[in-house]
Amino acid sequence: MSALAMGDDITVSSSAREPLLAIRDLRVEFGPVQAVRGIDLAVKAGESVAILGESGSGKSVTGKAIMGLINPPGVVRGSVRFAGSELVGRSEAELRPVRGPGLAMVFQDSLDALNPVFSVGEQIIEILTVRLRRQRGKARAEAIALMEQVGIPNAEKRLCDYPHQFSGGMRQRICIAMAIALKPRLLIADEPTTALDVTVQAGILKLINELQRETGMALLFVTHDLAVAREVAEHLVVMYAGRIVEQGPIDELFARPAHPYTRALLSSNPGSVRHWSDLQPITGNPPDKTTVYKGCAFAPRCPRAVAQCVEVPPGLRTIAEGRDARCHFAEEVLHAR
Amino acid sequence: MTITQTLAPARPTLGIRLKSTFSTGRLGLLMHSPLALASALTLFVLVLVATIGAPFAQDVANMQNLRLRFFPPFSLSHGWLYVLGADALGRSMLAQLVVGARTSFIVAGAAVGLATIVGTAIGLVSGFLGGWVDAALMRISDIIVTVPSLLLALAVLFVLEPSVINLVMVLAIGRLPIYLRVSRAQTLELRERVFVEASRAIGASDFSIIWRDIRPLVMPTVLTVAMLELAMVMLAAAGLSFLGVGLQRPDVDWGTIVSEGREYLTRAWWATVFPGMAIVITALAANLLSNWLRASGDPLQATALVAAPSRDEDARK
Amino acid sequence: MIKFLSFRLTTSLIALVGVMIIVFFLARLTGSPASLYLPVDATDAMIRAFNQQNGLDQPILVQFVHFVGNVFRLDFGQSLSQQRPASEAVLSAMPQTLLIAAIAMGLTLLLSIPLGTFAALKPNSPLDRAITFFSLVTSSIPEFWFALVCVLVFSVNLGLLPTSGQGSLASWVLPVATLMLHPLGVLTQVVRGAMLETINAGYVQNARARGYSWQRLAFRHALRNASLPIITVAGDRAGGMLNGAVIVSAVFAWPGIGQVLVAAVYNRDFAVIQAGVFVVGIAVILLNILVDLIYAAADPRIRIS
Repeated sequence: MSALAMGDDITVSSSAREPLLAIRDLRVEFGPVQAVRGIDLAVKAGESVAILGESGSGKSVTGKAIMGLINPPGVVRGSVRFAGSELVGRSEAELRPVRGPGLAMVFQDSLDALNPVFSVGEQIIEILTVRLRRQRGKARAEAIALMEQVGIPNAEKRLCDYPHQFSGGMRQRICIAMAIALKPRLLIADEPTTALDVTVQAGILKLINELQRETGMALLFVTHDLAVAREVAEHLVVMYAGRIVEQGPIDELFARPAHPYTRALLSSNPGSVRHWSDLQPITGNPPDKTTVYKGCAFAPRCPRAVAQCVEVPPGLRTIAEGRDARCHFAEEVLHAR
Repeated sequence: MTITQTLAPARPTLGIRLKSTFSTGRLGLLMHSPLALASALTLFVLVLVATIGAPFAQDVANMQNLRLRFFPPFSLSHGWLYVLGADALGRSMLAQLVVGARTSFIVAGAAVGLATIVGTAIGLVSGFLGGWVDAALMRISDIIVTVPSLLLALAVLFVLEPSVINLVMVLAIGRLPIYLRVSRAQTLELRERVFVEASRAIGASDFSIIWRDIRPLVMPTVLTVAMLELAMVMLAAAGLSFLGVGLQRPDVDWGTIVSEGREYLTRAWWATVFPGMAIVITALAANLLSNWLRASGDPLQATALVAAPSRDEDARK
Repeated sequence: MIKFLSFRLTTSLIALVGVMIIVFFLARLTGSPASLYLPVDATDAMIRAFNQQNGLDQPILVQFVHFVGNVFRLDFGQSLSQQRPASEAVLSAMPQTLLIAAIAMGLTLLLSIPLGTFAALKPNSPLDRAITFFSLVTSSIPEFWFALVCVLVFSVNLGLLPTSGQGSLASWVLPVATLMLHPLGVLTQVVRGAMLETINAGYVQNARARGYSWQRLAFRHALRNASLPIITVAGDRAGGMLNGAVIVSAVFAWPGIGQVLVAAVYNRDFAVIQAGVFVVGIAVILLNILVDLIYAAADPRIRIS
């Protein structure tokens, strides 16, 4: 608890208008595989941001890198500042106080994310007794309250049940309960609804929205699903081949995409798009993670690509108020009808 | 000395998880791993000594020289022959070790070979046919596993007179269940595969399916297990000889020499320590080598004591 | 669970019956013990009388039927060498063996779990390599030779420990160490392998994201999940300690089932061999059931299904 203060202390130190989470030039490499190739990202306190991308775009790795969960041989470079403190290069012991009350995470596969040999009650109580030094009895009551808060019926009775005895949706709710148990300032949700049925999905999204409103925590929502992103986030970040290709307020992005990739994703009528599978297929192959692109990574698949795109790498430029895009012809795309 | 005493064939056994390790191209990789290379060379030299040296050492090993009783080691005053000292009858330790090497290798190799062939054959048939044949064979395997192997060997060898053939038979029977289980488990899985169905569809006989389709896929795993077993069987054989039921003169293996030396433990430590060292060195070399083989087959699961061949690491997401 | 256990018990008992049949006929193969118990110049009449007295004159099948009938009353006959019921001779030796096996297995687990875990936490580190090398070395040493060298060093040369027998605490050190030699290396490697898999599992990463210490991650969250293979191998090895007991009795003259059975084989004491194998078989079956119960305790997915 030395360099990184816990809980409210962090607020004090970060009051000076710095965003809650500030990422500068984050790079993650696994040997020759460049999963994340330099991204800049800011999340303000209480804000909700969605990172959208195909599998392999580096969006999940970004989430794990923020939490410090990238294991060797993975290498993380760049800067991740959370509440004014640098996280990259910290030891496990230094990161521990931040994990939980600062940053929390919900994973994609809830069955894999919960320990199969402990009851869910034990696992929630463990957080409270270990991290908040609660008495067991008090922790138990709090655990029940948490389970009720995330919408588990019969919470007291189900405390003693094991993860495999819950349905997928209920399990994910328990994961959310565990993530919010320490009242995190930023919740990273890594495709939390991907493994669930559409009907269940809606319930989980609603829950996350409600919790965010009630607790005022910030949300970084990683997804490959446009509709899901639109439901939970105010701000959208689109990733392609380990880089951010476009970002801005989500409604504006939906209305007027400035990058050919976003545009292709949205197809002609964004309203009709519910899932990747409904999209007009983007021609060409998804990017190879080991390739080093001289120009724009999307150029091989881009309908607008010209010689310049293959030769000169486009930078992420501000093209309108609060809008960034990584394309030589962003303005043209933006104004095209 | 025995790997399992369990009556439960259903539990995961270690052997089944071993991956194929006998693919091609390992020799080149061996060069890059000093410890594995050293082990392979050690084994090679030991086998060479046992095959070429033993016939020459045979007569010398039995030459008694009572003036050299308990002659201590590390002295060249009586020539290289006595550099490792002499035993209670003044016989050269070095020559005896060379002769013992041959017997030890023959016994371990033959027992493992026999157990591999018979065990795998039974496992293949048992797994492929299933039904009551399978059930009966598995119960027999359970029976073998239930009796402490050393006790079984003790009882049988006590009846049968010590000899190389009997020792090999007893050791082989004791180790059968491992090969049986490993090959059966793999067969159970393989027989459901498409290529087996295809062979059946074109009218191949059961025997032909087992021999042509299944056996080639089961063998790599079985051979990996056999490699691991070599050292273990060697120790077991030595243990039986030590207990006085394995081999007796004129047949000599390293276990016999330890057993004889034990009587003079306080007077002549070398008569006990050196033959044991020979066993340890051989077993360790065999273990290191098979450990390396395993590691190169499955980098995460196995111990990479000796640098495993590098693989492109996938991004762990 | 109960259905599973009763199935396990049934098949185990069938196996035990098979073992008993084999042992019965095997023991008869060793020939009549008359030559061993009667003087060298015993007359034919004396041998006949001896055989008759011990029921050895009857056809082997008749003897077998007799034997089976008696087993149900747990009567294995009279020990020839010990002049008391065979079951008594065996059962009186069991506690010694069970105690030393329990101590040796307990210490083995106590050592192998941290060793294997540390190796798994930093795969391919120098520590990992050292631990692996250590376990390969221990499994390459013959138990009897290890015992002898220990006697040579600690008893003969240093005079620290007694060479044989059972008495003071010091007399337990070498027998226990001998019994631990092979299980220690094997279990360390099993712990390492099992922990390597669980330490990277999603639930451990999730627990890590909640800010737990590495000790909690390794020894609570990962270890409990890695326990099934560890329990399996520990159970196997605990049964295998009966082999070790034979060596320990041979080198250290350690009282116990090993000594009783080895003596019975050399003395052609059929009744004791049969009683011994029966008791050992039952012990192994009980051990297996114990292992199944520990399984169920360790993993709720086995318990509740």
